[in-house]
Amino acid sequence: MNTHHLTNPPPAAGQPARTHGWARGLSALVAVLLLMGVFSLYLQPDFLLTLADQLWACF
Amino acid sequence: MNTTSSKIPLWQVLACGAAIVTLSMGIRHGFGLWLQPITQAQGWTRESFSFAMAIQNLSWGVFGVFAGMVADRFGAFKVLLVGGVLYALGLVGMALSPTVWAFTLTTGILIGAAQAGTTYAIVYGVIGRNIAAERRSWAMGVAAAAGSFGQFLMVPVEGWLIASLGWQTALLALATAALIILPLAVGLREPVATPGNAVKRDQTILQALTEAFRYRSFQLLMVGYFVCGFQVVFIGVHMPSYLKDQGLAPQVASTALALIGLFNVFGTYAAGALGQRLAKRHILAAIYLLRSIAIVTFLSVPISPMSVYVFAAVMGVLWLSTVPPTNAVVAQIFGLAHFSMLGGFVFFSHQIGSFMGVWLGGVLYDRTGSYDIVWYIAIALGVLAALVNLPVREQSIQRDDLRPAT
Repeated sequence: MNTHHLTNPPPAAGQPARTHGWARGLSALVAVLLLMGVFSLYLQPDFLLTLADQLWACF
Repeated sequence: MNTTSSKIPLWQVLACGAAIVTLSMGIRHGFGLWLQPITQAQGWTRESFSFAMAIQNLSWGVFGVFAGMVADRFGAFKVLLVGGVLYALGLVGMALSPTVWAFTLTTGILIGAAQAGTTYAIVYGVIGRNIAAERRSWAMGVAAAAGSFGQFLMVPVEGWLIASLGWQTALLALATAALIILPLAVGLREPVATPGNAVKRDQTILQALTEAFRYRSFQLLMVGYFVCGFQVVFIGVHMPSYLKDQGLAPQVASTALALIGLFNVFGTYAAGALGQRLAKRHILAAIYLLRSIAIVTFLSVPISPMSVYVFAAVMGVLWLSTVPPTNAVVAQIFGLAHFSMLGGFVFFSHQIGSFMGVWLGGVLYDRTGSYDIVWYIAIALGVLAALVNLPVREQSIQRDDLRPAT
């Protein structure tokens, strides 16, 4: 059974794993910061009210 | 199983595919924000706007099958180009349509067709043909997570565009953004097939369809995806009304939307990555069963903002997480020659479920005065979907035996 971590997909047969651990960690950090940044946009009071008005069709 | 040698670098497939799906899924996701400005400016009813959106969903499902056929035959690149142009034209039409019918044609049919040509089934075809099977599920998870991120990102971006530019100019700005799909599609342009690297096409479209629809596991996957559409869209559309009925402030529903969007990104990625090490039928069964458990728990505990937020986070993780394993199983079973078309059919089933979730939610609420029955149906369907995914056979179909035991 494959035991790679979630962020470390198994390399294809015959292909060496080129991605370094630090690069993966940095990528994950950037992704989390980006997601938190977008999440903060949702929590702005004005926008929250606009969304609340329109929510039924937003999905 | 039909396989190809890698032709486009992994990073290029993922970067261009993810960016395309981010745009195509994201742009459409914020359309609800235009309801008020458009209906007020044009003097149309909410029903007119909603009708165009309903047509858009059906158009997406129907055209998805044909877009898949064309992509399998002539390559995803051409379909993506046409899809990007249609997306831009549809958005321009959405901004400038003088009548309800023109609005329905552009916003409904054109944008629906554009989505069919620029979303998962088409991009997944490129992933399937260019990324080794050992990494395919993970790669599909990355692309699905990008789509989820697009949905999460574009709602506030589109809200800002409307506030800054006005609703009409905001749509024209989005039309320009949709055209970015065209250069991105170049990154997914596959080399002309040669005898050494082409996906084998041993079947005609009709033969592939006959084989798939007679294969029990394909039928079961379609049933599961129908349930996915039913649950997700019922909850997405009707939950705000449900929360309002329960006496909660509208802002609670807004925050729940944000939480679903946030956790959806993690869920889709995780489902794709887990697909590399676990049986995908088990992942799918677990997702559907957990959805039912989450709904039962949500309905059982006293409702509060916190219970809504926890439910939203859990459902977010489970939201589009069905997409990578479902598509990866289709590729595993039937190979890649007709993958986009078969993915289109499975997605069509999803869209029928979506339609039923919205429609039944409204009908049963009107008749009974509550959403209780629909919640119970959603729970039962989740259990059903968990059960039907368990016997799915993930192995490549044996074509020497045209009637495989399923």
